[in-house]
Amino acid sequence: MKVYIVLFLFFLVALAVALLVPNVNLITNRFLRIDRSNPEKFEPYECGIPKIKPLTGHYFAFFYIVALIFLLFDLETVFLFPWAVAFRELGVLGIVEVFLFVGILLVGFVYAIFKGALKWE
Amino acid sequence: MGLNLKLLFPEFFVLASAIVGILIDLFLPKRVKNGFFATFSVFILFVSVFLVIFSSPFVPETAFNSFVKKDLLTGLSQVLILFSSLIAVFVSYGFLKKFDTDYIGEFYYTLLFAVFGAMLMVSANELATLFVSLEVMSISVYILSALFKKDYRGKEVALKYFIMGSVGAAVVVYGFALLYGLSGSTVYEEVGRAISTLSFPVLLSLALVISGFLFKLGAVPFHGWTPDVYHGAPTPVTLFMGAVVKIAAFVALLKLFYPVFLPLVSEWGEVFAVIGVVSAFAGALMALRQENVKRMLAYSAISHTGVVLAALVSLPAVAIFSVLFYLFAYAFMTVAAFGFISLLTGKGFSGENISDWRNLYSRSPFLALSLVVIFMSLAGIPPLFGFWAKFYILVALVKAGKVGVAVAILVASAISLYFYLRPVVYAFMKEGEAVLPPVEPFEFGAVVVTVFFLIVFGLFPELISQVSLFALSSFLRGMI
Repeated sequence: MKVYIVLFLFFLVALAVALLVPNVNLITNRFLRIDRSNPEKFEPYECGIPKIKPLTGHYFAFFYIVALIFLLFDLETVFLFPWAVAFRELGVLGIVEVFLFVGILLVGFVYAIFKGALKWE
Repeated sequence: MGLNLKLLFPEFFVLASAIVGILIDLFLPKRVKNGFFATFSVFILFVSVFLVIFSSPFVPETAFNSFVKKDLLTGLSQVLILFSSLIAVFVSYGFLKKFDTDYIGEFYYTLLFAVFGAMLMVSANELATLFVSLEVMSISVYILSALFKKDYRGKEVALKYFIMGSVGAAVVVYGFALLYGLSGSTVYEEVGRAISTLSFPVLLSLALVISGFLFKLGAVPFHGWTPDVYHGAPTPVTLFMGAVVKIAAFVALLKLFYPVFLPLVSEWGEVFAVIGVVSAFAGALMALRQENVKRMLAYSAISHTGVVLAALVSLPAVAIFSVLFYLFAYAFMTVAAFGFISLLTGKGFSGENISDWRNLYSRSPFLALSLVVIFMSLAGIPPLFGFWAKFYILVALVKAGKVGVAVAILVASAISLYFYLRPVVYAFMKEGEAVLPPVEPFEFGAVVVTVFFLIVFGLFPELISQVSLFALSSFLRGMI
């Protein structure tokens, strides 16, 4: 119980710091900054190169699919490590459960392959 | 204690068939997908209704070391969830014919995953299980709203709902973490044992859990997302959100708050009463000038949520009974109303505005009459189902001595009568031409069935009240 109260106090302190620190910076910045803004400062490239076209077009984002599939296997290992540590205590039921888990993940992987998520064009 | 796997058989059945659905989807040509998956989902949901009916015990049973607890309250709400999803599938079949998407298979099995989440959520007896099932349901709904081609409204909704829903989930989880810190356990009974007085940490966790649930339910201080999401999502998905998500969240709230926070029942009851009355008024007043029917029904959903929340201030047993009865009525009415809108929706979202329903009576008298039944039931006019739901809640409030709350609810319902009557006026009395796309037989059948139920249960409310009483007694037996 006592440990949890300490944790709770820590949570409160962290919350206070999290709320205070960024906002204090914002407020002091507002009063202390030197305001010499001109239109060029708001360009995407402040170094002087004019932008070519408006930034409303679509662009190709393929890496996120690869990242998602990576996440699939990353999570798989995250769950498999504790299982491997407690392998003897869990017994037969543990093996069945792990096969179920990997099976469900494999369905997701098969889905990704069939939808062409790993095809590179 | 122990695993007791067979108790969760209906949930496993839905989950396994959804996973099988993923695999089948990969090997089917596109033109047969809609028909096949609609039949598949209807079959799965129909079978699981029977599985739920035959497997829900009267004496509460637990599974997975009391992570899951099932009683008749769970069973009844699961039947309600499955029925609403069944209607959602029928409506989706027609809707997917009208609106193009590349993700037909995905639509149906994501719906099944959402059903699985909702079913697990109402049977959860442990904080982590509740959170995980809540997220399974919510994430599936976010995906469902973004699946249609060239439907930027739906994609905007998915993003908005995702961001707002994540904030709500984060708030809930903070509350759960505090509860775990206070009690050292996540099982409801054990958490409840550690909570007896309103100390500061308890107050904080209670406030966080209540705010999170209000987020999910769309009650007043956190109602901002409701109109946009209900309006922009594809109509079958709105139907699913309005009925299934509401039922699951409310039943999970009953199952969480009564065992865990029972000593503080008068404190949080008051909170819910205030929020409920404010939501009932806010929803009714903001719905008055809406032109889009889906948006109007979203505000009316806020109002209905308020009425249900206000009922929680009455005596616990009566409150559970009246809330359950109201959920029954609300599910049927929502399903009927959104099914009706989906039936009238044609290309380019025509038929969603009230002005598109001008003179509907001359085009299709039967549809106009079912519109009267649906909207009068939502308003709570006597011979229909919605009346009895409001009636039981008002009786519960008056019996508990909260006459002020009851009068406030009554006034809010009187205000809401105005905007429920507007579609009726447009359909019968305005000159003009209703836009009526070709009627899809399955959508039509779903609307007819629910309208039929609204009339039958309105004439014989004891059918539902008896069932609700059984569910209540089974739930109370689990609390002793």
